[in-house]
Amino acid sequence: MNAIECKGLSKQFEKNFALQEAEVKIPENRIIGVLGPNGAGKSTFFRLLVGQIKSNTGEIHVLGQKPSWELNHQIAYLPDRARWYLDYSVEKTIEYGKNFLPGFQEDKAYDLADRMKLDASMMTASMSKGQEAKLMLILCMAREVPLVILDEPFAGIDMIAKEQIMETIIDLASEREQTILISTHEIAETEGLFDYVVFFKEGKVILSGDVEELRGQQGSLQSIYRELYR
Amino acid sequence: MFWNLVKHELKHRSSEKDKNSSHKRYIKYIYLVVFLVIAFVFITKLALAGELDPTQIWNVLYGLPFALIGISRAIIKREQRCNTVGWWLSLPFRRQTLIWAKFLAAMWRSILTYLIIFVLGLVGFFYALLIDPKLQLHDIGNFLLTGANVGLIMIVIGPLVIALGMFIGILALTEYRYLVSLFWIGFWVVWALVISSYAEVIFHFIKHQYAAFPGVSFIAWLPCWIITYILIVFMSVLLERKLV
Amino acid sequence: MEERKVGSFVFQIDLSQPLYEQILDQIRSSVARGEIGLGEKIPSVRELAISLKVNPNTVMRAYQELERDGLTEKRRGQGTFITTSKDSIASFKSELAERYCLEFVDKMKSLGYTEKDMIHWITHAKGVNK
Repeated sequence: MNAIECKGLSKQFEKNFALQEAEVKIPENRIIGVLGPNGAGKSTFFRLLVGQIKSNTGEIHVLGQKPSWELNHQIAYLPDRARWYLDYSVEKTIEYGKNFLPGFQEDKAYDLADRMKLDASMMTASMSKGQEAKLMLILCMAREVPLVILDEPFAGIDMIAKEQIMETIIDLASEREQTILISTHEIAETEGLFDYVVFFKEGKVILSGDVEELRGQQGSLQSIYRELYR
Repeated sequence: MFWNLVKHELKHRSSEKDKNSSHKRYIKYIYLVVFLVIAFVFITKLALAGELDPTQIWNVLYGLPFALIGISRAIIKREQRCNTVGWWLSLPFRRQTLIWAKFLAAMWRSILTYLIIFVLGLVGFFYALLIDPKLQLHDIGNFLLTGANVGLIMIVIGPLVIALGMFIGILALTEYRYLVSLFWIGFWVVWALVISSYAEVIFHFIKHQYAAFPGVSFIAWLPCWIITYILIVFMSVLLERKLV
Repeated sequence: MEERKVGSFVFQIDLSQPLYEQILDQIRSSVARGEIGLGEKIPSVRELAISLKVNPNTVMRAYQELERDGLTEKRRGQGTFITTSKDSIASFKSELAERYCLEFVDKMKSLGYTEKDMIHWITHAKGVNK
């Protein structure tokens, strides 16, 4: 079954098309890389999936339903360029997750914080960018929901934090049936993570498929990326 | 769940994005101190001359609507400035619920602001009592009632002002964001017109009509609250359909 | 290409080739060469995926294939182990040897060589006896 199916999806902001007749099919229970340069439509696509914005034309089915606030019970979403509330501590953040995010597992969250070396009393205001990114990842990954959407979880953070985030994603993906969508620019470092990819270019999907098959036919994702966008 | 959301809205107040610009926080306090000094000098001067009408202290409350519109606009704008708007808008709640939570948080903060001013006013009164030979303790009855009357007016128009402030904040998140400055200008013009045309009426009301409050204000109260409700519904529709 | 040591294995992962085959082949050869002992526990799918920074489904596929080969056994609640049967390994090794030979023979035939030529090539090709 497909976790996500979109037909003829278009979204226009003022005069610019962020998505133009995009056709997207994404299988469930995989880790999916959503790749492409800035402005290719990745974030717009994600925001449409969580119902934050409405498409101009086209159909979207997420987990077999149309996007809505109710459907967000089943979606963990790390927003585009998101930052966390500065006067929240790790502990308060976990409480936020427990209060507002369906499927949020407090124990799991503390466990993850512990493994990623985030002290419960630490405040966001005193965190490095990497620590903040890890905290936001916990908010998403501690949820037992069928769909996780991470918009640029690796952007602008140090190598160690990046590795810890990757390890956390792999760790949780190996114990759960979950569809995880990740958009990123750091293909070289992260491409092992993905078993399915979708390449966006100028508001359209120009290539998608099983990563192992693509590797067999065309080589690494990095070299495919180079060829597609050069 | 809903009250937790209101609590959350009340909690994250001081989210200065740039950690280096914490001096902005001090500026707030400096304004406050300057204001208090001016008020102090003013009261002292008038009271010593025996010319103080203590109810004039409440004129400060005319500034309240501006504070309110600032508070309510900030409660939306803060999400945008701190890049947390994505978290806010992907919470699994109806848009209207999200707006109501912010609205109530802004209301709560406005009431607190009013109460603080009220207490400060009272302090001012007692200070004047010490140095003004003409002022008597029994003047306090009239003084308090006048201050309370302004509070009652705030109950009538406060929610509407808060909704307007939030509306400006929301508008900035939508494809109609270019209307924000127009809206601001409109707001100031309307406000100036209201003040200049009805200052007498309002002032009279504040000074003398408190006894008649429920009857008189009901005429104003209902339409204000209905418009507030309509604005909240409208904001949730904007959030649902018109975000950029 | 970077070497990564996981438990008794050393992996070299090349991102331009299917990862599943590389993981499979490299575990197979370590077992065939006897670098890992009979009955020894191997890393779980999760451990291996985390240390190689590779998708767990990919590792899982390789593990399933190893089990089908008869090289590993799953023990419930304990994890995955290299088979304790020498015979399984021996037979797998000979199977693999046969498969490689057939591939070689096919390729040589396509170049028009006879059996005798092939033997000559095997014993005299540059580098074979080094």
